[in-house]
Parts: sequence; C-alpha cells; structure tokens
Amino acid sequence: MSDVLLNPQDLAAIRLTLQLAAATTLVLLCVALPLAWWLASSESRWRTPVSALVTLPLVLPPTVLGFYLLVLMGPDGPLGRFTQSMGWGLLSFTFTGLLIGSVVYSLPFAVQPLRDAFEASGRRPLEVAQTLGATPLQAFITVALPLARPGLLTAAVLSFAHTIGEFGVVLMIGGNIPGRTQVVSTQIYGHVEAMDYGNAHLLAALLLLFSFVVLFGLSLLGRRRFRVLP
Amino acid sequence: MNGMTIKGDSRLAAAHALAPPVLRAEPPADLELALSMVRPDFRLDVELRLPAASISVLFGTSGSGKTTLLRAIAGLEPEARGRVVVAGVVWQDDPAGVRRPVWQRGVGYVFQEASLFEHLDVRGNIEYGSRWRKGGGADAGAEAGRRGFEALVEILGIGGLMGRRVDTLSGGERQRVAIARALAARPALLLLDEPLAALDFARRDEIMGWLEALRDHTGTPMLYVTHSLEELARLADLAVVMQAGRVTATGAPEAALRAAGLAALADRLVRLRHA
Repeated sequence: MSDVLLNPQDLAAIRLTLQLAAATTLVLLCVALPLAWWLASSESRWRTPVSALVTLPLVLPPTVLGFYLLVLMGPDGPLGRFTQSMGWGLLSFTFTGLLIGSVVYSLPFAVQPLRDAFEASGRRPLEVAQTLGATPLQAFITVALPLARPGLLTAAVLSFAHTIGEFGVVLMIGGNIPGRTQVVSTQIYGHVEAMDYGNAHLLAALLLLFSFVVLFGLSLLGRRRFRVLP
Repeated sequence: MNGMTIKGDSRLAAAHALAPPVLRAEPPADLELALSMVRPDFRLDVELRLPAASISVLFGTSGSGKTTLLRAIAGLEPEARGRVVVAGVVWQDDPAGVRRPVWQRGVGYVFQEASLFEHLDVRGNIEYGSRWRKGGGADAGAEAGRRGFEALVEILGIGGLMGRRVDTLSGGERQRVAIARALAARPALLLLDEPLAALDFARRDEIMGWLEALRDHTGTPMLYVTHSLEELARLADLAVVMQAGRVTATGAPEAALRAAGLAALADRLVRLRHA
C-alpha cells in the first residue's frame, strides 16, 4: 500500500532517516556513556564547563550548530583538512557528515538521562562492589550499568527520536541531496516548497504518529517501572 | 535464645565449612593500624593494635571519626595515610610505598544502609560477594565455595529469601543479606558501620543474635562501629573509644569507658548488663 502512497524519493528519504537515526543512536551511546559517567562522578574543575558545552545543542539554533560544523568540515576547516589529508575527501554533504552533525545535535538527549541515572544510584553501590573484590571497571559493568538501565533505554529512545525529528542541522550539513542526504524532515520542506501539500501531509502525519508512539511507549515503560516499586 | 542453642550444632558444623582453611591454620589474626588524615574541619589520627578479638567495637559520638577510620581501613579514603596490617598482610604502608586498592584488600564491609544491589535478587547479591575473589586457599575449589555459601545461608537464616527481589525485604532481612554478601567474599576482616542504626528495636535485637552466632561459629574478626551503648554492652569483646578523631581508650568495655573519662556511660553500661 505504501508503494501506492509514497513515491520512491519519499521511501528513500524514510530509509535514510531510519539509517541515520540508528547509526546516531549507536555512536551516541558509545560517546555518551563514558561522558555521562564522568560528569556524574568526577570532581574535576572541568566538569561544569564540559557540562554546559554538552547542553549547548539544546538551546542553540540548529542553523548555528550546522553552520559551525559545516565550516569545521569544509575544505579550510581543521576537520576538513584532516579528512582530505587522509584521502577521505570532504564530509560535508555526505552521510558521515550528517552522522557527525546528528551526534552533536542529540548529545544532550543521550547524556542527560544517563547522567541522572548514574547520579541517582550514587557512589555507594560501586564502593560495595569494590569491597567485594571487583575492580572499578568490573564494578561499572556489573553494577553501575545495570542499575542505570532505565536511563540507558531513555537515552537510546530519545536519541533515535530526536534524530528523526532534526531539520536545521541536516539541511546545513547535508544539503538535502535525494538518496544521499535527504531525510524525511527535509523532504517535507521540499514538498511544501513545491506546493505538493498531499505528499507533505503524508510524511508529516507519519512523523507525528511516530513521535507520539515513541513518547507514549516511553511513558508506559516509566509507569511500569514505578508500579513495581513497593 | 533457646532456639539458638538447639540449632547450635548444625551451625557449628556449618561454620567450620565456612572458615577458609588458610585462616584456620594461621595464628590468630591481629590488626595493626596507624592512620592519619587531615580535612579542613576534621583530623583523624589513630594508632591502634588490636588482638584477634572476635568483635572489637569502635565506640564514640557521631563525628568522632569512627566511620572515617573504617573507610580508611577498607581503602575507601584516598587521603588517609599510614599503615594498615591485617593478619600479617600489609594492606597499606605509605612510607614503604605499599597501597593495595580496595578490591585487593580482603575486607568485608557492611554499610549503615544495607546497600544491596537492586538489580539482583537475594541469591545474586550474595553470589556477587564470592564472584571476584577466588578461594581462601589452593584447595578451595567450587565444592568448598558451595559449602561455604550454604553455611552462610544457614547461619544467617536467609535460606527462605534466596529468590526474593531485594526491594521486597524488610530492613532486618536486608541487613542480614548484606552481612552474608560481605562474608561470601571470605574477608580477613569484617567491618560493620552502624549496621543496626536504621532498624527498630526488635530487629536490632534479632540481628545482634545473628552477629553473636557468626562470632561463635566463624573465625572472621569484626570491627564494629556504633554509638549505641546497648550494642557495645552486648557485642564487644573489646572496646575502642574514639573522641575527636583519636583513640582515647582501648580495653574491656567498662574499663575503656572509665579510662576515657566517660564514667557516667560506664555506670549505664553496667546497669544495662544487669538489666
């Protein structure tokens, strides 16, 4: 049925969006786990500035973020020079470029729930594990991570959903190239620009439905978690 | 108390399985401490040598440094300097550059709140204790480990709780599981930091009974922190009185209190014993 309703370009945009969101979520969990752990447990004086820096994408207009990333990845930017010297070419207007942008853009959505979870369980369970003979790394894997599981789930879902919904950064870095960097949100913009309201409606409704289902599911999970507690 | 004497024999047998063979072969373990630590608002300065009394009670008002000393012994206070020797094994000797990290000290630690791992059931919590440190001696294989585990469960009376989620346990049950978990790691020294503070009167009495059973049936020396005269009276083989970060007296409970200039407390202790 979707073949009838959605044209191939829309389908390609949906596929790319899902790929981007999945890849972003994976990379983000790898980056955000140690970062959130450090923010939750470190007593370094760098903690506060780093915390502010991580939160920055939450308040910055996506165009500002996209602009700086574009400059960074461009032929004269430090990252652009590096990738060129390695023979990888430029990252702007590529999937990898989009991925980097999405990771930065959704960073606070992954870090904050994890940090909250780590802070909520506190230092005590790790001290207990260490007095029982576990090294700090073993204690982290067998105690801190399982205790932070609700935060881990929230971080993954929010990263995924937020990446699906991004627009400004993707437009700045990716340039809305069909099949390569055109995602659902930018495709909607394209449809509207072309006065093709029918297809815009369809994709917009899809995104709306998806976002609702995700948030609804998250709060259901949250409710079940609280209900188990005495 | 009758129930305890009747069950005494099986507990004793169980306890023998529990005590690591290496510990039993050695002369009684003793504890040698010389620790100091300076904080802006507090100074800890302790020199102490304790015989292998089964239960030594660190007694003092809150803020006297009992908990800090216990944490320093376990290696949980990085700023604490000095020397810690337990049963002839040097855990820390800063002048000589020796400092075992927490996880390489053979310590068991029972915190004020049971601090059970909420993601594991009772069995999982106790097994976590025997997961990382392998055996007490070369002969201590899986079989010895299993017997030790069963003995522990028996002594602390937690056999019926094994499959339970820890958030369904009562305060007294939680603390018993925490004690079993600490002992499952076969510590050379068990540290208990006001383990009864969060419990009501009846639970306290009950746990003290379990601790006495442990004292009688395992060889593990205990260092027990409290500010409760009642616990001092009932549990202490040896009292260590702490005031303002220093040890002011050591000895039999009543004598130690008098030596520390706490005659009124000593009188109350005597009355408690006769009550």
